[in-house]
Amino acid sequence: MVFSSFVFLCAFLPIVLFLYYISPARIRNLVLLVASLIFYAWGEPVYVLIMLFSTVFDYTNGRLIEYFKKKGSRGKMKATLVVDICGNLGILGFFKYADFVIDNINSITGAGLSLLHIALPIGISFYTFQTMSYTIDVYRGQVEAQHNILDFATYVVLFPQLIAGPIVQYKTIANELSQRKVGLTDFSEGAFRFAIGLAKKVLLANQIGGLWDTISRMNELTTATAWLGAIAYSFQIYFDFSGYSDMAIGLGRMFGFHFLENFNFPYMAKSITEFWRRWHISLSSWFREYVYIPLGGNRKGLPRQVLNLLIVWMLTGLWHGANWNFVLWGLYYGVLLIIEKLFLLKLIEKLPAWIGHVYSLFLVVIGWAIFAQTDMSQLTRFLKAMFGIGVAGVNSDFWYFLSCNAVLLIVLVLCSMDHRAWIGKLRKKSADAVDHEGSIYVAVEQSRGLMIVKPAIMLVLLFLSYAFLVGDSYNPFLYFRF
Amino acid sequence: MKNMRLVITICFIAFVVGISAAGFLQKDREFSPNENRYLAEAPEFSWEDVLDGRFQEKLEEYLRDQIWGRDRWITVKTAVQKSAGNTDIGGAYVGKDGYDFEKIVPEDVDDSQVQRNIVAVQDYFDVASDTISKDRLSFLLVPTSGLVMEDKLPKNARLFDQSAYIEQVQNAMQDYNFVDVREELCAKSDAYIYYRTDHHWTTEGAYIAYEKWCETTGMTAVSKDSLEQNIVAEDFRGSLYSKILNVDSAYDSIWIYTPAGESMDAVNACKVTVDEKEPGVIYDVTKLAEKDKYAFFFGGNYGQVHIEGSPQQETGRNLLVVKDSFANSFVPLILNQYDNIYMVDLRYYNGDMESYLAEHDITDVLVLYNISNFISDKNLYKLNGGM
Repeated sequence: MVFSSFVFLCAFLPIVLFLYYISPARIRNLVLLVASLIFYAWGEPVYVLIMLFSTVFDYTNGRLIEYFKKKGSRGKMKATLVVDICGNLGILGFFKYADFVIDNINSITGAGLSLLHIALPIGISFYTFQTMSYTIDVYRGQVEAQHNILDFATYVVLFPQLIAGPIVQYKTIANELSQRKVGLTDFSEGAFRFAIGLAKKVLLANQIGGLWDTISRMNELTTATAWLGAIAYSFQIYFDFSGYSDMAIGLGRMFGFHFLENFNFPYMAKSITEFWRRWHISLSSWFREYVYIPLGGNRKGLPRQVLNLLIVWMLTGLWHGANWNFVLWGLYYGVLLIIEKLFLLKLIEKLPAWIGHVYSLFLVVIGWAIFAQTDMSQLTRFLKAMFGIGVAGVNSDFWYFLSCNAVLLIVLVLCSMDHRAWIGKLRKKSADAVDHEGSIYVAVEQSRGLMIVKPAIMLVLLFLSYAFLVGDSYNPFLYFRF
Repeated sequence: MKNMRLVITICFIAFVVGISAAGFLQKDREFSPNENRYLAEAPEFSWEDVLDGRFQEKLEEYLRDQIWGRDRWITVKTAVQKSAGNTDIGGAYVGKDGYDFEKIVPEDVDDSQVQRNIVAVQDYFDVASDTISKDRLSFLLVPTSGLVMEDKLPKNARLFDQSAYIEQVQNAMQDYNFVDVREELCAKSDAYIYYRTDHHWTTEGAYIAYEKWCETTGMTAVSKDSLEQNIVAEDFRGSLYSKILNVDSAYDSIWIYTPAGESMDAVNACKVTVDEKEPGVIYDVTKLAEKDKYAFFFGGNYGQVHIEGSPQQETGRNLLVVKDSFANSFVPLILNQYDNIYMVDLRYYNGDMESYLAEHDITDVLVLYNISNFISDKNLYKLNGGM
C-alpha cells in the first residue's frame, strides 16, 4: 500500500488511527503490528512471509548474541553475527541481485544461464538494513536485545517507514517501542507533516514527474529539452522521496514515534560532500556506521580511505537498484567525493557561495540523469543530448514544455529553498539558532505566527492533494527497484 | 498554541474521516456523464484476486471513481493547472477561444501499424477493383482539428506530423481516388468546422469534405443554397471536455443540413437497419438529451448500418462506407445519391469484407477515417479475408 492512495487515505489510515486510540496501551503494539502486516501484504501478499521470516531470524540472533555475551563466548557471538549478516544479505542478494548477476555472467561468458525472473519484494532493502542495524548494535553492546518478539516485530514492520524509508535504526526508537506517549503536539505536528509530505508527493513530484515521463520517451531530444528533463526528474525524485519521508515521519509521530530527519534541503548544498550530508541522511549514516567506519574509514591512510570511499559508494549505488547505471551513479559520487576530499572542497569554501551552489546543482542534475535511466543506450543518448552532441540546441518542444511548467518550476525552486531561515527571521532569530534545538523543524513548530495559519495551510494542501489524486492518473511509486 | 494544536488535530481527522465517510455513505454511480465513461464498481472479494494483487488494484480504482464529489475534485485540479499556465491537461490541449484539441504526440504513433493499415486498404481496393472501376473507389482521410485550426492551438504545442502521414497514404493510393481535404478545410478554418469541446468535425466540416469528394469522384454536390440549416442542440460538451473537465468550458452547437423545405422527420423517413435486424434512425433525437450528443448521428457507432437512400430516381448505385465515427455526420449528406448505403465500422464488424462486395451488389466504396483513428486502428486487417 502506498500513502498517496485512496485505500490508505480513505480506509486504512482512519481505521488504524481509530483502533489504535481506543485500544489500551498494552495492546497498541499489536494493533500496529497487525495493521502494518496488512499494509505490507496489500502490495506483497506472498512476500510478506519473507519479512516475517526475517523478523524471527533477527530476533533469534539478537537473543543468541545476548546469550553468548553473558556466557562470555565471543567466538559464538561473532559467529551468530556473521550468520545473521549472511542471512540478511543472502535474502537481499537472492531477491534483488540474482538475475543481475546471472545476466552479467551470461554476457561475459556466453553461458546462457536462464534468468530466475524473481519479482523484487517491495521495501526489502529498507527492512533488511534496519534489522541488520539491530543485530550489529546488539553485538556492539549499543542496545539491549529485545526480548518481546511482538515489540521487535512492530519495529521491523512498522508501516510508516516500511516501504520507502527512512531507514530507522533500532536504537533510535528502542525506548519508544515499549514506552511512548502521544501528546497533542505530536499528533498535530505529525498530521501537519503528513499533509506537507502528501502535497510534496502529489502536487509537486507527480506533476513535474509527468514532464520527465514525456521527455524520457521522446525520440527527438534537444540540449535544452534534455536539461529540462533532467531538472524535472531532479525535482521529482526529491519531492517524491522527501515527501514520503515527511509522511513517514508525520505518521510515526501520530503514533508516538520520533524518527530522525531524512532530508535537509539537499539542493541548498554548496558541495557534493554537503549534498550527501543533506540527502537520504538515514542511508548515508547507515553506510558510514556499518560499512565505512568498520572498513577503517579515514584512519588507515589516504590510499585506504580512497579505496573505502569507492567501495562504500559502489555499494550505495548498487543499493538503489540492480543495474549498472546505479553502480555508475554510485561511483560517480565516489569519485566526486574523493576529489573534494583531496583538494576541491577547500577551494570551493574560499569561493563565493553561489559558485558552490551552481557547481553542486550542475553535478547533481547530471547524477540524476544517470540514476533515472536503467537502459545504458538510452542513458548514453540522453547524456550526449545534454552535452549537445549530435542534437540541436533548442526547438519548439522545449518552449512548449517551459510555458506549461514555468509556474510549477518556480514553485519547485521556492520549495527547495531552506524556508526555516525565513521563519527564523520572522522570529527575529538568526538562521543558525534555528538548528540548535535538534529537530530541523523546531522553528517551524514553535513559531506562533505560523501556528495561526497552520490549520488553513494543512486543509488547503489536503484539499488540493485529494483533487490531484482524483483527477490525475500519474502517480508512480519510484522505489520499486530499491 | 495549545488551542491551535487542537484545531489542527480536529481539522485533520474531520477532513480524512469526513471525505471517507461521505464516499461510503453515498450511493455508487454507475456512469459518469461528464467523463462519458463507466465508473468502477465495488470489486468482489476472492483470495485468488488478493494473492495476485488484482483485488487491491480494483479497490483503489473503485474508491477513486466513487469518491464523494468526484467531478468537483477534477474541476478543481483542472482549474489549478489552468491558472498555472498549463495547457496540457487530462491528455488534451486547452487551446484559444474555447477550442480544445486532441493530444497526439510523435511517440504515440506506431509507424508499423500505420504501414499495415495502409497496406490493408490498398489490398482491399486491389481486390475490389476486379469488379468495381477504380474511380469509384475513394479514400477520404480527415485531418484533426489540430492541423486545420492550428492558430487556436496553444503556442508550440506538440502534435504528430499528420500531413506527413496523410501524404504517405496519398502516395499509396495513387491508383484510386484519394480525397485530400486539407486545403479546403484550412481555407475555411475561421468557420465553425470542428467542435470546440469534441474531436469530431461539425456538419459544416463534413459538408466541405463532401464537396471535395464529389469533385474528386466526378459527382455533383448538392449546393448549400438548396439546403437548410437546422440547429438541434446548443449545449453540447464533447469528448475533449470529458478529458479536461474545465468548468468554464464553451458549449457547442450541433446542426444538420436538410434539403430546403424538408424537415428532419422527412430525412428520418429513410429506412435504416442496424446490424441486419434492429431498426435504426439517421438522426436520433433521444441522444440529444444525453451527454454524448454526437451520437445524435445514427445513434452512435454500429458494426453495420444499412440505409435505403432517397434518390429522385433509382441510380443503380450501392455505396459501401468503411468508416469511423467521422462518417456519421457525413453520410446524411449523401442519402439521395445512392439506392443503398452500407456503413461498416470494423471495430464492431467481423464479417468477411471481400465477399461483402458481391453480396450487397456494391458499386462504390468509400473509406472514411479521421487520420488519428486511421493510424492507430487495429481492426483494418479485417478488410483482408475477414475473421
